[in-house]
Amino acid sequence: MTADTPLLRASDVTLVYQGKRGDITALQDLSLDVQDGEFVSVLGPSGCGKSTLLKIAAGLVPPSKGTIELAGSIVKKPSPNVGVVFQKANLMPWKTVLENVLVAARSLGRDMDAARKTADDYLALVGLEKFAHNYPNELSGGMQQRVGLVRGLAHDPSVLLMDEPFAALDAMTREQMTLELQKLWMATKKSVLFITHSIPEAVFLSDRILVLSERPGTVVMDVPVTLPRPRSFETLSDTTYNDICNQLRAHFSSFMAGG
Amino acid sequence: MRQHLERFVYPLITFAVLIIVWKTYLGLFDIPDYILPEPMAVLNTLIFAYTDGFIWPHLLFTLRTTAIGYVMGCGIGFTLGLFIAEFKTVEKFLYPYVVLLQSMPKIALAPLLIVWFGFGVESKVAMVVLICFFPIFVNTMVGIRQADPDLIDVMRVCSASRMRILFHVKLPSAGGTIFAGLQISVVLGLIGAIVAEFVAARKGLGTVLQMAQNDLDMALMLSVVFSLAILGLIGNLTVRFFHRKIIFWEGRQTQTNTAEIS
Repeated sequence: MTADTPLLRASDVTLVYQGKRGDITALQDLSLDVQDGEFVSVLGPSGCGKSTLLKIAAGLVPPSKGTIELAGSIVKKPSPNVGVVFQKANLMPWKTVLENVLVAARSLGRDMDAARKTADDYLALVGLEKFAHNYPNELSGGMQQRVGLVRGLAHDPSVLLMDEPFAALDAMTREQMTLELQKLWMATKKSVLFITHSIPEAVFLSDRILVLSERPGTVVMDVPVTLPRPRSFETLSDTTYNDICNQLRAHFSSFMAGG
Repeated sequence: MRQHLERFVYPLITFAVLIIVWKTYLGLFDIPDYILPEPMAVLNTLIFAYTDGFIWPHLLFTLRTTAIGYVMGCGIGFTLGLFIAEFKTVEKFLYPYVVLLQSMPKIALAPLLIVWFGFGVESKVAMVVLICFFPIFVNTMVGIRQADPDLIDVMRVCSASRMRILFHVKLPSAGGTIFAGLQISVVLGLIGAIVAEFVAARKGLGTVLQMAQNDLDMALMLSVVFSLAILGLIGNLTVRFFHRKIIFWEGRQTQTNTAEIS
């Protein structure tokens, strides 16, 4: 792997599936790169295939055409080097927080002592160290989503795929979680592919934003975000931040005229 | 404390009212005692049956056949339900026949079972097995198939093996539905045992019921019915106890998802 081989690369990914009235092309010739340690957001309207892209990158769904490469090798099935954070926390109610977090480590046959230590560290990082032995139904939505975050990281993947992880949270928790995620990312420097439909969130978190078209989804814009880190609520009043947000909003309103 | 008292007091009041209505009805109309005896007569018969002891061998016989048949029926139902849910090939071969058998009232098979298995314990157990099989089978199959695909994805994403997904996601997900099936099968099992005894038996509460019918001993008939209700209740409460212990994460009120009533 050379210095400029991206950690994650999608090449001309196309996905066609059978709908009720014929074939539906969710993604068409979609290509993107995520470099090592980069935080890349995929921004797009609902139904443009963002979640499908994530499932393909995770190895859950094979593309109809094109490839996904992880550190140079083609992804044909889920890789232990990838962690996924879903839109819903998807915690198993019959397992404790800690057991939920360790699911990947167990499935991958990792050393459980080391895995437990990593899990404890990450739980502490999101402020949930005291809840390791609680059950998910004893936690609030925000807390559950934080557990989901830790679960995606606990087996130390190099790539983190996140599918609108804060969409199901209330606005205040969402803001908090955005800061938590930044903190986590800066501490661990994972490569992140972050799916969202929130412009402010994408600009706040990312090094780069990829804008997806409507279905069939393909990348139509690549917007770098060069704001300094760590970003805080003060960044929200920064001129560059707002310029980028406005640029993206203009793009979306132009083709979403009429709602 | 007050809650516990309330739980008993209200049903007790209903019971007292029932007894009063019963006695009044007997007082108002001239009902022969083989149609409806006095409440005290029923109580005396009930007490005598258990203190004298003549009912015990019959009760134990029915209990044994029900228990053995229940365990076997549920075991087979669970295993088959699991295999059909997990392996498409098994489903292709077996499923249509299962649907056919399911649609048939199993009670109608009692005479067949008597011919095949004889007059003894075996035919009764066979009936109970047959009748207990279906609720568990259907509920296991449906429960496993209805496991949240998102939770399965969580496991797939970390390359979990099929067994791991089965034990850590699918079976726990299906747990509530499976236990609902186990609860239904308790009462169905008792029905199966009694019906098989009606068809041909030498022992059991079903035979006592028939003997009482022949003697026009309504007090004894009611006593047997009451005993069966208690047996069913004990079985039901036992299953529910284990349900709450094992499926500990479910909400306060466990819903009974009925998949089949034969």
